Amino acid sequence: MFGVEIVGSISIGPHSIEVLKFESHTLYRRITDGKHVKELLVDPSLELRLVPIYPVFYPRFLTQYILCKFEKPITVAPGNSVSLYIEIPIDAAIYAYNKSSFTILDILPLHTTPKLILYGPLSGGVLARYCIANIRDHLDHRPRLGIAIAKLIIRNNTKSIATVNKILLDASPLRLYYIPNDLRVYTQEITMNIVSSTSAIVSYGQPFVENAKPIDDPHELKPPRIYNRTDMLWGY
Amino acid sequence: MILPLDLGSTVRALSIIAILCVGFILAYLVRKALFKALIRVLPQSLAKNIAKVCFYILTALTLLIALGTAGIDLTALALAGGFAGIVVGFALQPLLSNLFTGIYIISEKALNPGELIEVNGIQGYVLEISLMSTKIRSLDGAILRIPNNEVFNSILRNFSQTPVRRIEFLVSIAYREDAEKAYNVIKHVLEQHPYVLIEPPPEVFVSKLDSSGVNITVRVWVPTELWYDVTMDLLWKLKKAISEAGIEIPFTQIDVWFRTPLKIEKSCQNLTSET
Repeated sequence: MFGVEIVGSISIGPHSIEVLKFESHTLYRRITDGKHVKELLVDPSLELRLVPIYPVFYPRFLTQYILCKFEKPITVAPGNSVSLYIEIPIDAAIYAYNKSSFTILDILPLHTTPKLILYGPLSGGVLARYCIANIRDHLDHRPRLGIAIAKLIIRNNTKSIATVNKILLDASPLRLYYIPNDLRVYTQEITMNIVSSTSAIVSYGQPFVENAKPIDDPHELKPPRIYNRTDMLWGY
Repeated sequence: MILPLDLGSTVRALSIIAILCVGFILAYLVRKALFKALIRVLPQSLAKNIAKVCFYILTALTLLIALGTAGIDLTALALAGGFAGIVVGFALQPLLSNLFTGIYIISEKALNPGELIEVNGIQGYVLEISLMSTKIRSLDGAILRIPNNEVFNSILRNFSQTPVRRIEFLVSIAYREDAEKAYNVIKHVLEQHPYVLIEPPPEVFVSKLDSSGVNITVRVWVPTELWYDVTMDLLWKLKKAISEAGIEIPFTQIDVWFRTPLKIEKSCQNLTSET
């Protein structure tokens, strides 16, 4: 369960976590698919918590962008807007907290074979984590491991019909919110403004679910102070 | 009679000191102001060097004005300076060539520290770009200093200015093997590899019907910073998967045919007599 201090052993997807407290140290151990994957000695004053994390850290952090291809294209009439919910894959992380700071001890992948994609041209394009996003027309509150639900509003500001196949998200302004002691994870409201036949602007709004707690962003993904948007210049 | 002369000399001396002081202070202030202004638009090293050059020019001008005020005839000095300039110019031609190329490289941002480049067939990471030369660390760990002129005049490959890089493998299978099966095995390995990009898509195709086997070319795009790791890892995984699928990787074979049938004689008489 997200946000709760881990004591003893828990299972999350294919992973089994053991946190054994000793007098001088805490032993953290992860077993994935029956194999010992990670073992760490941790200061006993630190609290270990399971927290959802953006799917950009496994196998290693290479990009902050996530390109979600919709399972089916969405067509929007000129001047109109469509509101729906998309499911974005996420991973889990083990955070170690003390009173004033935190660090990430381990990343628990919740999806098999993460893949990367180049969005844009060879020179000037961006590397992004690739995923296929399922679309829902209503908010499904059932807890589902490894899925964050995002409210997406697509606005067609052009004078022609637009068909949207994908969305480029930046994990830096994107925020994850979780319900403590639960597996439900949400993002904030995301708006995609289609501005031409090839470009769109993705902006990140406020959370749309109450009682959800934001995750502590890793230092690689501290939210920008000025620009809270992502420009999709090479098609949508 | 002596007093006015002394007064004139004193005034002149004071003016020279004043010119020198004002000139040096001005040169110093211009240097600082120019550096502050240029740092916003130019790389730090280039801004620093331009400011330094301006400082030296202003200092030289101050000295010339001071010498002129002292009553020294500068015509001869200018003439000598002109000749000296020509001689020094010829002598410093390669040096100046490197200097101006360095300014061009820095201002154009053709290279940046930390980037992986190839110059004259040497690959390495850029450590430092100075006005005269570029320092790189080759892939085997040696530190190389390449004159900027050489960097400018040769074909420069910069691998770090694109986020992805293509790598290519050649996989050979025996003629008796099913090429489609090999193709599927290779495709599966590529699909399972986290650093092989979905787009641009990988290319797998029969590129040559070679003397020993069928050559299959595999081209994949990977993140630039991981090209070396992926090259090592992927080739190993391809070899392992092909072997596990029971597909034969051929080695060079030569079939020798004789025009006339060969007569092979067996001398086993001794053996039969002994037994």
